[in-house]
Amino acid sequence: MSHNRPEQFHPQAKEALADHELRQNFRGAMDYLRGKRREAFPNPSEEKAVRDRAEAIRQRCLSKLPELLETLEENLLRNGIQVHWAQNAMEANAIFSELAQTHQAKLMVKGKSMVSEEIGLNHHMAKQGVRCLESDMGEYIVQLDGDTPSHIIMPAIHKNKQQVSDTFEHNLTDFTPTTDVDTLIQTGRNALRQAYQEAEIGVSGVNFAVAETGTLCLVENEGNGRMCTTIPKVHIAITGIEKVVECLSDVPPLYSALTRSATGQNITTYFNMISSPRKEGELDGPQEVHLILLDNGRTQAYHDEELRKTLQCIRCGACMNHCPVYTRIGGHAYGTVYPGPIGKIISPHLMGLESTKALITASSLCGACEEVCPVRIPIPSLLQRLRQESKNSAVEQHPPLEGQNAAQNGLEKVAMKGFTYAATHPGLYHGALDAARKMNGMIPNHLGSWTQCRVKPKLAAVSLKARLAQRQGGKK
Amino acid sequence: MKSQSQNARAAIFAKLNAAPRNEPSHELPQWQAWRSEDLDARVSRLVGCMEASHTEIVRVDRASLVTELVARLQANQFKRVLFGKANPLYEAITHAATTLETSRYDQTIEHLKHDMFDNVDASVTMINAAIADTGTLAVMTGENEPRTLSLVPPVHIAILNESDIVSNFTELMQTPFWQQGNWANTPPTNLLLISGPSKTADIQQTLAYGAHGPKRLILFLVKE
Repeated sequence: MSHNRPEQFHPQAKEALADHELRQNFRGAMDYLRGKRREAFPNPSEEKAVRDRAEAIRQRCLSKLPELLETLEENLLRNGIQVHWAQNAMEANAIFSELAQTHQAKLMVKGKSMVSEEIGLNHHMAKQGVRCLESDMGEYIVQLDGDTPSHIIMPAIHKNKQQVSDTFEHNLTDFTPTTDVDTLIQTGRNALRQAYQEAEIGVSGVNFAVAETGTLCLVENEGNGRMCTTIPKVHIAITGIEKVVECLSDVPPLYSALTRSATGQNITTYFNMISSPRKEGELDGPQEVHLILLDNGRTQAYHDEELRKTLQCIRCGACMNHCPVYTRIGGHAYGTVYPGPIGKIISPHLMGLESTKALITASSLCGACEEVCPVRIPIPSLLQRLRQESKNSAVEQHPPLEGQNAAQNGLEKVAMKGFTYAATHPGLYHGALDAARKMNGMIPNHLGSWTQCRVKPKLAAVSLKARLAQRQGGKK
Repeated sequence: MKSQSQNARAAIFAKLNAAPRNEPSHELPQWQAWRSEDLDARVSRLVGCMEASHTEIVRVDRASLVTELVARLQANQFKRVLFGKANPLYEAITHAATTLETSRYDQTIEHLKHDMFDNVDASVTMINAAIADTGTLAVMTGENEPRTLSLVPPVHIAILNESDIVSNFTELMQTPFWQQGNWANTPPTNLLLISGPSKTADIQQTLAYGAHGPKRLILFLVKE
């Protein structure tokens, strides 16, 4: 839920695990999405080819990121799109406030944008007296609840149709409860079509920003993204600095990999390529288009060549759909805007390791996420790397990460040092094991979380080494 | 705002430029989307994909296009139908369909907005390119093809010549249709790919059509 925080991950996960309806909703949704993805990649060699291509494109674009951002800015300005830069949420929100003020906006209507969630835009604008209305169906439902998305692609995935009906009943006048999905969607449609006409500003995210032409690409099914970027007289797009791609020819493979990985669709209903505000003679479209490029910790990930792979992400959500942890606890338990595997490796850069140190341990490192990632982000290795950084000081010549060493534990450190010493001194090691064998009965029955689902360890009366020696007739 | 944004820009670039970088690799792993030299194969791929995404397809020859279109408009009991201002079929349809109120999109959206949202039943647009691979119509919007024409009315009627169907998105980028966009200097304000009526599966993974845009997409596929 919206008040959840990553610091409270353990109690939040526990609460989610005990919620049977929630678990049923996620189980059903994840099974559905996994099946859809599987069907969308019927040919393993084609799957490999498109993922290899997508990975290579993202890596090339990241390796030229500063140059591509300059080209992007230059071409956007040439096309008449205004460019703004923000280092953090506060700066990005200030840009929104000023634009809203300039246009005396009372209502902003929003297409789905996880970056706008990241900066807490709705909350910020509400304080300025500007209403931000979510228009993606899932986000609209979640916003009526006063809640946040639990999945980056399907924001209301934690709710079933009865729960959606309940939400509408509590928040909308003249709504007759129903579990007919078409009627529920019609209800949202009617409310929002009114809002598109009234809003002074439309807000959207960006899926790919094409540097060579200065083009913003938006991927969607519902048409709300097109509404938000076409009807209001001002369009403000916001995106992370990593979303830039070099050329138009990079777009088709990335787009194909994105939609098939996300929802198993070969293509979405709409692919919306915006390169300028309304030109002279044109009859519709916004008169002003702005792009806000946000850092918010991304440059920290960029600084390290291993961690930089985090930024290859094209936000398809496949890692969530295939994660055994996410499937069981859902998206809210993480307490971060980006949940699931990608959330665990990006949030430490956005929020620091201090508040996210529990998240990086919430993985069995099963590797399902890496196996399905369309751009092959090595999520398990990155999790291990972040665990390392959370427990140790930065190595020399390496600037510390935000919250470096936040999870360090003196006792654990001493124990590991002791074990290292024993394991590299055979005399000491075997002597200690022999002593432990004699004290077998004295090992306590409860050994913290180890014995939560296991019996305590019991040493064999004779060691394997001694048995082997015996079998070989005493020969060493 | 301008100066703060410039400070942020400088700080972001300083951080990015301080990062160690290797020479970018320009190697492009081989990937080929679906393609066919055979027009019939492209047509049947497009039809299959578009029907799967709930598009209604009417196949006609050039000579019967207007008659078929008028018959459909009347059978659906549409009252108000909106056309792009240079739509070549406007005159013929207006003349043939006497029970229909036809109009042209010839004013700015500020004037047309409420009427279009509230009163128009369907729009008719001419499509100049399409992708067989994914069952997709490509629209270069502009003065004669406003962005909202294929978005706001609840029914979108699109007219496409079979010969304008290319294999895949990458091939589309090599066509004269795409290149007239002058991408290198003044890229088109808005280029759209449309692959069906608007839809959502946001409520319990149940697919529903007519989310925010058209509830129906009717494609007249013209054989020359």
